[in-house]
Amino acid sequence: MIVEMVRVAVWGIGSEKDAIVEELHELGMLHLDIPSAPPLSSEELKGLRLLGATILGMVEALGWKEWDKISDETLLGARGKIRFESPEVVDEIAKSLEEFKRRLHLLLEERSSLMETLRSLRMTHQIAYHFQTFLEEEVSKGKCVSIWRLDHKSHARALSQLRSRLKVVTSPKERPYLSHHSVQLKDNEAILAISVDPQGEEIAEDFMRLTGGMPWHPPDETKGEGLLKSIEALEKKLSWVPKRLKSIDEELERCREEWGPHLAALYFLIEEKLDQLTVKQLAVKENGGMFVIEGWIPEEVLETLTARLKERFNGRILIQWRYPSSEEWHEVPTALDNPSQFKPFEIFLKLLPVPRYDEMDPTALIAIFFPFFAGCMVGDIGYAVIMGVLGWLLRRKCKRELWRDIGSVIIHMACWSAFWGVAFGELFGDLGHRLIHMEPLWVERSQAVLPVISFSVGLGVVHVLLGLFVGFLHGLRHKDNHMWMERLANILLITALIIALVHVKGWLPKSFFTLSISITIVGLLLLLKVGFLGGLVETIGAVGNILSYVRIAAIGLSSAILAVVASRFVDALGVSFIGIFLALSIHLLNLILAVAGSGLHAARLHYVEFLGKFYKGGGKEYKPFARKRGSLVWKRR
Amino acid sequence: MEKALIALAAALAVSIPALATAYAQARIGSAGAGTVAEKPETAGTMIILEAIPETMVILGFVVAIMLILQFA
Repeated sequence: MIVEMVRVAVWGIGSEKDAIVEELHELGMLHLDIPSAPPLSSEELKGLRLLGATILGMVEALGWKEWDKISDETLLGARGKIRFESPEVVDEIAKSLEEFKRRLHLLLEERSSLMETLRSLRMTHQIAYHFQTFLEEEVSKGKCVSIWRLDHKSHARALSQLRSRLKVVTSPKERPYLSHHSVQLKDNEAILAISVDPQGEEIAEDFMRLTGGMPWHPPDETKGEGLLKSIEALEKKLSWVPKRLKSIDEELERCREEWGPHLAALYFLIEEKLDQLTVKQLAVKENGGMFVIEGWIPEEVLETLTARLKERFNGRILIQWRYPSSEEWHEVPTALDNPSQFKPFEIFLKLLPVPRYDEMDPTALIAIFFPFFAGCMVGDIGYAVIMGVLGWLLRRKCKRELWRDIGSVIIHMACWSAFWGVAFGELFGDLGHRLIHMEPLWVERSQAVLPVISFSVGLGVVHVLLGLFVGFLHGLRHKDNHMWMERLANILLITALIIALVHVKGWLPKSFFTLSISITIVGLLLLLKVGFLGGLVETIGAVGNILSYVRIAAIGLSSAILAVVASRFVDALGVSFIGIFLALSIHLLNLILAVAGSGLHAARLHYVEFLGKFYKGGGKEYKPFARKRGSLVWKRR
Repeated sequence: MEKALIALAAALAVSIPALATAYAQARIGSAGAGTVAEKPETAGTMIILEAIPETMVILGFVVAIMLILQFA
């Protein structure tokens, strides 16, 4: 349900403005109307923002990500030690961080340079190793070897042209000596080693430069006397660089552990101070020596707020409050408050715009119908047990609220799956029937398809009519004639259609047909009042929505048949490793499909078929002016 | 022969909507991937949108079941 809000105005004297804003920040109850994109530009704010950005940059550079491990106690301790009372404090902190920032920068720069060196050394070593045998052979013959980097496509033509040029320095009876070895790099580049007679060395070098070749050398620090000597130097360097990288990584890890939490806590404090300054400048209205802060607060905590403020400021503060008028409803923030068993289902509303203050909170209805539908689709006791364990583990082991809520939803789904499993007599498909002669309490859905389809359409009728009824009530409450008349017309026409269908089947006396016609006429008249065509389309859409609930039966049927198929593998292949492995694999696949498919389709039935009948959204989320808490959720926001 | 025709009709009742669903889901999926890349918070909504065209194939499946149960 949506929490009732009240408008609160806190009046105080100007000299106590800072103390009152700080107390409200600490209490964290008041939702303030702060204009978006505040044009603030005081020196204090600039200094704080710069410091905050510097710290965030340092945290990111350190690679520290454990924002969720900053506890409220750590923040409380930091608040006690650091108070941003003047710009000098900000300057002092910035100066004290300067030395650490410089050291961190040097370390990271060295690391990045070493990484680049290592990459280049590895490549050089690879190339040198590739040419080592060629070099050794050619050098032993007294030839001159040079290595070139050039375009892979042109190197064959270049070699043939070089051979003809070398004829100038070779006696006419002999063939010019040219030996070569190449390796292709990425991006159509090649490294080409050429070996020529000493007298042809200059010609070869000039020619290779002319054809666009670039001489290839090992990096400066590994240059020896010739490439063969360089290989030894390369290997030495290759063993040194990773050691240095490891020691840098260890130092960074130490810094991360030591400084990460401190920097993060400092960042939280700066953000809090910025919030306070923003509120002081934008949400506080001053009038002479007085000031006033206005905002919204849940009615249930009004007493706590007034008691705390009166206790601290006694007679020096005036608190006024009132309920919002209907003209103000669009400005009132929305806070949800549901019983603990329904609360996890609030996650379904997170995919939709926030409900408006004057709307109905559909969480309770989702909490009733969602697990019921999803359970009907799964409908297997064995799968229900596994789902229950999975949900329990999510609730127990996960720290993030979202996963804990998902765990609770899965537990609800598991309970209904077990219920439907008993109704359909399914335990891992037909395994329960085979082993313990389990019989269905209602029907075996792989055999009795029509009853299950009829039942799911019946569920659709109830669910869609409920959605239309809620929309009808919403229209009446807000005096929205178009809405309530259209929803009522839809309800009447669908009811008339159902009566007519049941009558055709012969299950109702003849007089009911007349009743059906009468209801249809009333429904059509109401539709005429609100715009006939649009209303008629809405009614046809509602009938389509009802038929869409057939998916409950269809997905359930496919899940049941897949589970039976899994067991048949053991029949076909015997109680062997392969038979049991295949059966378990199919069951696992079916379980994943059952959990994901049933959840997805049950959610879709709510979002499209049900909520579409009354839910509008477009409200403001209740975000109280509160201190930051050490949670990842906040960081992500 | 008659049974074969019924089976063919049932197969077509599932396969044609299945092709249409696949086409629609492919288009929604590619648009959804772009949207999620721009706004990761829309991921949940995109999953729901992706499931919407499945109504066609589910209704086709029901028609196929009806055909088989009524005539086969």
